[in-house]
Amino acid sequence: MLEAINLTKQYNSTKALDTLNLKIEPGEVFCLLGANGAGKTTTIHLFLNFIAPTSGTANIKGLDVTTHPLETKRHIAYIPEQVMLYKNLTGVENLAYFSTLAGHDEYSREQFLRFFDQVGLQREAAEKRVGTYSKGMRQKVGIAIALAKQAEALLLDEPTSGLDPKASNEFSELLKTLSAKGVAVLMATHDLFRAKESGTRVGIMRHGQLRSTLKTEDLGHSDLERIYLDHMHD
Amino acid sequence: MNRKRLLPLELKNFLTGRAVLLGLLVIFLAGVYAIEHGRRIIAAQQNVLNAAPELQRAHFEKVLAAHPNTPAGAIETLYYLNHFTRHEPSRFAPLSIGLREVNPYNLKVRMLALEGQLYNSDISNPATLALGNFDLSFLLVFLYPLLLIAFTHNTLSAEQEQGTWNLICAQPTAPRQLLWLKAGIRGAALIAVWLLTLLVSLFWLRLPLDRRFGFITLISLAYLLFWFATSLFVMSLRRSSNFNALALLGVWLTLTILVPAALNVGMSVALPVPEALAVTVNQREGYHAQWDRPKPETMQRFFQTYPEYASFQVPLDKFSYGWYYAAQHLGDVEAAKASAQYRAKLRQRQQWTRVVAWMLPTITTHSAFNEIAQTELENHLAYLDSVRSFHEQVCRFFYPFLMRNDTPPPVPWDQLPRHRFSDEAQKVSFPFYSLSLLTLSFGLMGLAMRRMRHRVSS
Ligand SMILES: Nc1ncnc2c1ncn2[C@@H]1O[C@H](COP(=O)(O)OP(=O)(O)OP(=O)(O)O)[C@@H](O)[C@H]1O
Ligand SMILES: [Mg+2]
Repeated sequence: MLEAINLTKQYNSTKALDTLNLKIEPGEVFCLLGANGAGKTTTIHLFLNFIAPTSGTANIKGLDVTTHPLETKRHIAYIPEQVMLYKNLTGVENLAYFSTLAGHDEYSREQFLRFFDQVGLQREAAEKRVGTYSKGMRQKVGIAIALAKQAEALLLDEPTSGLDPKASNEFSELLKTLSAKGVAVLMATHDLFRAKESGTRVGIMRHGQLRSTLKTEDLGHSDLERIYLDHMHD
Repeated sequence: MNRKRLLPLELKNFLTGRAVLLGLLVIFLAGVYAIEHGRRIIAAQQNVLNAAPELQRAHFEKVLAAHPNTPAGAIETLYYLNHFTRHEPSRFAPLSIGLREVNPYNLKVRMLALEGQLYNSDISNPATLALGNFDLSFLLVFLYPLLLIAFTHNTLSAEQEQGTWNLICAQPTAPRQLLWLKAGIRGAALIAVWLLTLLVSLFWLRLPLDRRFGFITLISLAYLLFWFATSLFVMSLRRSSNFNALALLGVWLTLTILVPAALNVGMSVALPVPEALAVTVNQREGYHAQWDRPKPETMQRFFQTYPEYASFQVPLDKFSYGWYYAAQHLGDVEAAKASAQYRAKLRQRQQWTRVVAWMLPTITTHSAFNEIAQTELENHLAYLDSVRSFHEQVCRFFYPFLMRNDTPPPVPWDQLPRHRFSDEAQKVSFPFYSLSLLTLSFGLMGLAMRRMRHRVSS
């Protein structure tokens, strides 16, 4: 579903991403772990074609994202680290706006509200101006937008940042449901616990390189933390 | 991209933006004010013109009453009689007052030498984008671009700055198309208010819905399109909102203030117009010279123009009005060359303004408005020409009573020629130089679209 082949991004002297080779199949939840500046966001942006790779390719459903930008975006939903929305529109209106851009112009108002139910945003809150939202509420709208797109793959850049524990938990559940339906997920996160909970595999990045890939089912919680810290220390 | 579904959301998003509705309301009200301001100025002139016949009658009565009701008495009055002239505005004059407010429109001429009476007040420079009048053309040329800049400068950059652009770019819709929609809504909102303003002027001023109204609509839309395209072009540079705002304000300042001011200075240096004074001086000298000449010589020169009075024997031993008015005429003959030069200079300036107008959308638009409203130099000069021939008519009316050897018959006062010059009666053609504006606007638009295609990829 998502595939990186020798994917490299170089900024002047810094290699933000160094020959990444990665394949994420439908139903897999791949969690990218790594310190600040490790190259997680860079990886996601390359899949979104926000930035051009220095070399290598990022494929979605076998299509190169640089040559098929619009087509590949049909298959992916994206939640940024900081979901920024139109402040003067309500949550529902923002959802309607981005869903329409995503090609879903069939949803009714009730369906939009049901997406908000799923992400745990109160219905009356969904009718208020986004300008009045907290960061976590905006993040929930972002998740609803991704959900409504009904994409086959999700690109998530620290999607739970700003979410309270309950909402984070619900999000993990949501991810499980989606992966059970065959959605492929690439998620950058700093949350080891969440990664272990909802991921099927974790990858540890450092200085733009994917150092290690592990299956979460083989790991205990303390293992993951130890392995992660080991990689930070080499 | 489902425009039908996006449009109401985009519209709400734009209209609820900070001060957007207020801005639209203010510029609409400013338009209504500008229309009313123009209407008042022209209406005040019209009142003066309407009162002229009655004032003229009262003036004649007063002057005639002060002199004996004899043929000689009647001739005495000629020196004091003012003949009123009227330069009637076109119906579109309130939209663009132009030079109408600075040039005289109701000259009163006496039977004396004319040229000095015409140029008593100096004619102003046609190149000036006069900041004086807050009329509709001023509003369009100066203020509409500012609001357009305020609305459109950050169409793209604000999305990037507030972080929504990423989420847009993650969707399978070409961002460029969405950008067109966003920019289009912003431009269309302002254009809608402008068209509404024109509609208000149509009803309020009871303008005829003729080709002139069509020209004005077309040229104003082209002008707004020019600014829209400029803004898109700057947008395609993909810089910050601040950069865009400053760049566009820079263009605005250059086109509306700096270049016109520089041109004004340049033109008054390159094409000075000192002849207004020369005309008056020449005429005075031409007239005064007659006092030192033998009277028959003066009369001989007069008879060259008016051979029909050649039988008139000027009394050599005493003052005669026949000789006096012949001398006045020769003053005009002396000044004719300087006067023609003066007019040529003014026209030359006008020509230069036209040349410049080819390149500067602001001057093009302002000039085109003045031309259609018939409030520019050419209209004033045409009026002066009509005053010239009216003066000639008046002279010809009275000469038979002056240039004769016997006692003149009573003057048939009720048959005196009357003057009226109406701009409305003159033909207005399309200001062809505004084609440059159309070309520029569409060219720039095409260029901006091409750049956007390259710079705002998916
Ligand atoms: N536009 C850019 N120009 C230059 N260097 C950049 C640019 N964007 C990212 N980098 C560099 O690339 C490297 C990887 O950055 P990236 O944003 O992918 O890190 P990250 O893993 O997402 O970090 P975080 O956990 O802080 O989100 C960093 O060293 C960063 O400085
Ligand atoms: Mg990051």
